[in-house]
Amino acid sequence: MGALTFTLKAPPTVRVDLSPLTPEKLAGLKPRDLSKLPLVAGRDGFTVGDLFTVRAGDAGTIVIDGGSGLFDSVGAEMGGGTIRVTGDVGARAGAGMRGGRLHIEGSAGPWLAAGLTEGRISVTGDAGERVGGALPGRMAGMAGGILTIGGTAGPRCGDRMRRGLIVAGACGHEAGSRMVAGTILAGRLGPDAGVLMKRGTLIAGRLDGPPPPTFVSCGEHDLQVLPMLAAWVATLGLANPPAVPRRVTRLQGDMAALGQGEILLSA
Amino acid sequence: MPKLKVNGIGIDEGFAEAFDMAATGVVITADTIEWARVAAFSMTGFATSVIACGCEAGIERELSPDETPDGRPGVRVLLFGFSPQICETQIVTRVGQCVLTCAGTACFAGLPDGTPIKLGASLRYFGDGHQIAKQIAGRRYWRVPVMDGEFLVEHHTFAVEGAVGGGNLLFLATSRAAARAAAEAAVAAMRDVPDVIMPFPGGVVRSGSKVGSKYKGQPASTNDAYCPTLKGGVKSALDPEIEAVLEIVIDGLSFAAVQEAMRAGLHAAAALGRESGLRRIAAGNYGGKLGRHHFHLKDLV
Repeated sequence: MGALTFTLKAPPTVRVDLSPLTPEKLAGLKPRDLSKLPLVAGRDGFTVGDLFTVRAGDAGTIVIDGGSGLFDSVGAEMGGGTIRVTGDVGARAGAGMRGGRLHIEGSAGPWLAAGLTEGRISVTGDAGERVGGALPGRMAGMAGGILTIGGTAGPRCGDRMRRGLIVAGACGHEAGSRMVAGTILAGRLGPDAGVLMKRGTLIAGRLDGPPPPTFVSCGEHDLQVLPMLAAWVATLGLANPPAVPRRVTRLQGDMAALGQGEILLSA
Repeated sequence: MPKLKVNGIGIDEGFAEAFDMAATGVVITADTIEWARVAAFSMTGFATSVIACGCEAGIERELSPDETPDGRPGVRVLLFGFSPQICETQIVTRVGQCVLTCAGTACFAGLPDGTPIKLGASLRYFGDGHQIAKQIAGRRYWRVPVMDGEFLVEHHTFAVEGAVGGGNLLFLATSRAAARAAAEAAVAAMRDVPDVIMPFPGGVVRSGSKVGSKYKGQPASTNDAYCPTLKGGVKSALDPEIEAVLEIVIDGLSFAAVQEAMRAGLHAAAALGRESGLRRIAAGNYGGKLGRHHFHLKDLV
């Protein structure tokens, strides 16, 4: 059986919550029932059939053919299976995801992968702010899993992150803010990276602007862990992954917080 | 003289008696293979016999850079003890004193699965709060700051039960040089067999023991039946022409691995022929009542 496919009829004009369309929630449903599923959208809401043409298939593999920046919570809370979106998604894609694979062939909005605990999310384009971060009111950001972004992640990437890996072509300002642990690898980091980070590792080819004033230089090093990380990143199948530097300048901080975090910059 | 012969060397009817053991392992890497060996020799040096060392350990094989987790040359060490708990205590103590301390090394799990036992999970505390955990490809590692950079150590290694300890071969020869040559040839052949170690110095033991002693509190004592200087005075197992006996003890992850090592060692030694001075190959046992595993020499021919 092929993938369960939702083909977009016409671009939406209001924000639509697509969190009902996950492999777990759709397992066992007939195509007719699928079309009647209500979606929270705008003031009135509508059904899946109003937005998409449904082609029956294995609910373990979902394809959303045609994206929109107004599609929120795509794959949120999903626990397994695969969702592939051809096009953009809006806010909170993969938020609270517990397993499986979410592949977005386009760009994503803010809070992508917020609170992700396991599984893998990949975005070929750019992403909004606080990806891998903590949803408002939550203490913890991403706590496991892998998030890869082909383009640029917005500000505060990995906010309050505590475990897992984020790989991005570049990060906006304040990447790794309030980070508790975990690893962010980027080709380039925006200004004020690592602000208030307790532990965790930011790795980049370079940093925009001066080193943050509350980070202290620990000199240049060849760290044994970096080739291992490079080997792992190479297995992720990314089109154009940022290089993991072999020799790095180690900046320790944020000394205004616990100070056990680090920014490793290509030396 | 035994009836069974390989290349003119007598092969005893007897069998080696071996025991169930638990096992664990680590992979030690370093900037050069020499330094990886140094660390492994240190940690496996005083690990010849469970009688007084707490465990038996040795280098299983050397690993090329493409076989190790961090792409550096390394060695795989196997460690055998009576339980997974003992293996954990021993591996943590030994890696902590002999690998953590050794210039440029890193240490990883040396078995693919089994019961997880602590490795970096204990050693990380050496970092005094500066240690950093990193998850890479689903496995957890600790980066412990040390004076030459960082000691990278995996959080867990694994222990398995159902390993086999105490496979052995005895080489009876007309001179000490001949016994040594036979043992060297056998050890060299056994080192090519996967999943086994020969825990004694150079893989060879000259002080074979029997259970008990005339002295109170001495659990084991010299195996007088195989001591050539006593062959007239005790109930000796030696023919008059035998002047030296050396033994090889083999621990392995499985019965098959130990048996394969014994087969390889027996044939490599026998290949030296009678002109080398080797006369007989025997095996040690305790009457078959103590150990579950019996390796009959006739099955190896």
